Amino acid sequence: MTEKPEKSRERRGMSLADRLSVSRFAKTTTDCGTLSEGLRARFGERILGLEVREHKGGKGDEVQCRDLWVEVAPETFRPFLEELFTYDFVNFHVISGDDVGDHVVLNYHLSLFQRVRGGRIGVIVTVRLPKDALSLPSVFDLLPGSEYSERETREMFGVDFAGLPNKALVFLPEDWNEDIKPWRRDAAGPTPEVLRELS
Amino acid sequence: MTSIFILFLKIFVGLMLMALVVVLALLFDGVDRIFHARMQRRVGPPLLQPVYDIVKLMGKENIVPRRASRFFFMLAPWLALVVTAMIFLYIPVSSSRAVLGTEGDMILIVYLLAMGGVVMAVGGFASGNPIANIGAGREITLMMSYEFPLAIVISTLAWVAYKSGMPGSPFSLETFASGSVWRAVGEVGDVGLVCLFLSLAFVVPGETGKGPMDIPEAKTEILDGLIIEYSGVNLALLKVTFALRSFAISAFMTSLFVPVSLAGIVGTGGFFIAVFDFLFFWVKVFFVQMIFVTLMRTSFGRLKIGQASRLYVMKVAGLSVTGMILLSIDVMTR
Amino acid sequence: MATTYTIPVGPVHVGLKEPVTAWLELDGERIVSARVRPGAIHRGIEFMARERNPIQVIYLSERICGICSFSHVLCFIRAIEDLASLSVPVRAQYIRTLVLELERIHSHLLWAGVACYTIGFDSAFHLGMQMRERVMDVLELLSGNRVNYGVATFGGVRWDVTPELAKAVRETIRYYRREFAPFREIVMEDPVAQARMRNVGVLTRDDAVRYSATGPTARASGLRVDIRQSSPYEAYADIPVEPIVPQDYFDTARGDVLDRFAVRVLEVYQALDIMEKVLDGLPEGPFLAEPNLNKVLASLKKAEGTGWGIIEAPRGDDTHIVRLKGGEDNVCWWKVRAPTYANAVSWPVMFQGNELADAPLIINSIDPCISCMERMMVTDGSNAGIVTKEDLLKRCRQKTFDLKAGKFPGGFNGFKGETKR
Repeated sequence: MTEKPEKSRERRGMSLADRLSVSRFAKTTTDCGTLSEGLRARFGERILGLEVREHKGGKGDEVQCRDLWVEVAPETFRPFLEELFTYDFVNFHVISGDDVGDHVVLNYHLSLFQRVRGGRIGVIVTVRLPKDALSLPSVFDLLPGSEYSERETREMFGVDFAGLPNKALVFLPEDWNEDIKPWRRDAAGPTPEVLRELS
Repeated sequence: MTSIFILFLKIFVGLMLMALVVVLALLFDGVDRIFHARMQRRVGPPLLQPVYDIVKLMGKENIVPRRASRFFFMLAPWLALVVTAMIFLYIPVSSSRAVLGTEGDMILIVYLLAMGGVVMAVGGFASGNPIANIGAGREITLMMSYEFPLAIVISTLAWVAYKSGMPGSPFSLETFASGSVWRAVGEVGDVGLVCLFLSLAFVVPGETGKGPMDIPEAKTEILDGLIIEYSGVNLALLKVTFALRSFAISAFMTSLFVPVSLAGIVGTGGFFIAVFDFLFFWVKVFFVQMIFVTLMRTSFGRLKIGQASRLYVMKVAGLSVTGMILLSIDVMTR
Repeated sequence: MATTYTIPVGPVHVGLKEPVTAWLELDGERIVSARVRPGAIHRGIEFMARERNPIQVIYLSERICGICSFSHVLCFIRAIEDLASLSVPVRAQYIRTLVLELERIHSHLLWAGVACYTIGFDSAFHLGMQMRERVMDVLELLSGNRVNYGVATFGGVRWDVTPELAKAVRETIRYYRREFAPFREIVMEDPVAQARMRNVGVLTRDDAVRYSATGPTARASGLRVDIRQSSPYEAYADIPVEPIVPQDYFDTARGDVLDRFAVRVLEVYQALDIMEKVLDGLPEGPFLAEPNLNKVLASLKKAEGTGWGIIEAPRGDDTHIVRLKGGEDNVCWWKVRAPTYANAVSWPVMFQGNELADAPLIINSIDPCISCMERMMVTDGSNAGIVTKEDLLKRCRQKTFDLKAGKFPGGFNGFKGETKR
């Protein structure tokens, strides 16, 4: 299932402008195996974890689609995303995340190959940010659709996105105390004094 | 002595008539709402709902916004109501007579209608609310657009009345109410009259601020626009004014184009015939209002101000000019 | 001299179904720039879920939104099923699909009505609302509720499709095939409606790709994207779904409001076809893998991992991500991304070059569900005037007692900013 070398070279030589060309919204698909092989070949050890998950459905109980769960280091994140653009224009869904003690884990939920029946591959890129360096390059220039997610992650977790033009609050009220990060589980999170039990 | 008596009589009759038209306008508004609801497969409010609304609002306080120009803000609803109610003094409600038929004519009616709109726009501007400002701006734009076709309709009709020798002053509405303008012209002229009639029908929603032309008060866009800041008695007055405007423009249209009356058919006057014609006039107005106000506002959505303006300045004006040309040909070639 | 002024559309506005604010900078009637500020109805649902077990969160997720409540429930359940590798009986998959499509009809009819209302076309609004009653009746017949159906649960559904229900659904399909065409013609061939919706709020194909637009908003711009097609789930694995794009039905995809209207109208017909196929192919068998909730809970307590559920809700793709920790009863964290969350980002693009009169229509054109998009907790140090559920319940009961005792409040005395603490 390895990719042909010339295809791989072609992919390597693609400029960022080419990758961002919207006309590249692919009409064909690459199967999940080839995609993960290609990413492995490109990033090697810098991919910290890779898992393929299958989804079955229907009367035949056959595999209908696959998700690719990848973990990378924060500094690999941006090149990894740009590499994904060589396959197809990435469709951005959302950033999810959690506070796990000394790290904040962010998951970028992306999709590739949405045009093809059964061809969509969901890509989840996990990044673990240490709490003393809560910063990540913004993907706003690649995917303007990520604006609300990045602003939400910023206001909820306190993660700074370098290059995000508008860093205003998006969901929290205007008079919100910005030192409180609602989804954090440490001292920066909401203390019982500011929490109100509703039920 | 007699002239003073006639003056007092006219004031008395005028006040009675104004009170009557306010009640009738509210009733017609109630019927309008029921018909509107039934056409939308709804039950609709009770017939007297507009009256209940007015009574309720009369008991509420007037709130004047801090930024408003108080004088104009408070004056506008009263002035709008009075000038709109005054229109009925110049409309021949019975067979051929208007209360002040000798003191004013069609041009005055058009001015009074326009003044009602301008006064409401002034009230909107005076409220100091930016949304009311937008509404008032739209009202003025809309008015400037439909006044042109309206003016063509009026002047052409007067010219036809003058040229074809209809009895009476050409600009007086009584002329058209007593002798049918349809009979004064030939076949080509009839087509022209239909054009003028349709132009006026297009102007009606603009004048009433309903149907596809409820742009200055568009509630889903600018939250009732120029009346956004009004409350209490002022709002009640404005609601009456809106009901009266629909009623007035319908009555105006009726006297111009539907001069059917018993007196006209029998050819003689008489007390009972005059009473019958007085009642029959409101029936005619009712049908005109149901068709050109209620049906229109049920059938169409709202245009944007630019689209409405273009419609009036290009298409409706074109239609009225066509009517004018056809009527000119008809009258000149007779 | 060009002077601009700023007008807020919202947060409370007649033309908007839900609170969101668009600050519009206007030059006359023309929109120069727009700034959208959500945040008026953030309820912190995701935060609340941290103190609830997965089964409780099902009912919480149902309350994210009243219209697409089943989509959110199913999406959450699929996320849990993804992480815990639960399997679902085929009959349950088909029933889920049926309810999804019923909900799609419900949502699209509501939207079409509201769009007509926004342009002042009240007659079409009432017609649309009246037609919507039929599908709500069917949903009530299935679940007992008009909204928040409580149908889905882990490993299946809670209500079976009985022969009577199947008959009612078939009758409903016939009803809509008969009654929906007049509505479509009334609106789409009306000159005023065309003047109001054509070339308004345009989102070009390129912008739709770049801003990751989803659902009918993306499809109206000509993108063939539909999760039901690109990664089939439930019964869509057996029932192929072709994304509806305007260029297949009209000459070209303009990406304006009328195209969004057309796409939604055509999707109603598509939903009717899908429902018919679901009923024809409805397999026999159980509709719930494990009826004992305690067993389900116990197995979920052992499960550990992150799950991603993604489905095509009526307004676009709905994404839920859930994390369960082994040995813990409660949900570790939960992230909801409603379709509006994705589509709202493209509002400023759609506003460009339009008029103030178009603004509410443009906001409504993506079928926004602000409650879906925002989920915040009510936490604030000063909160003067927030009334908690207990307060409300207490007052509600007190009022009933008062009424029984013959004490009538005699008018609304209001909440005078009292707080619980």
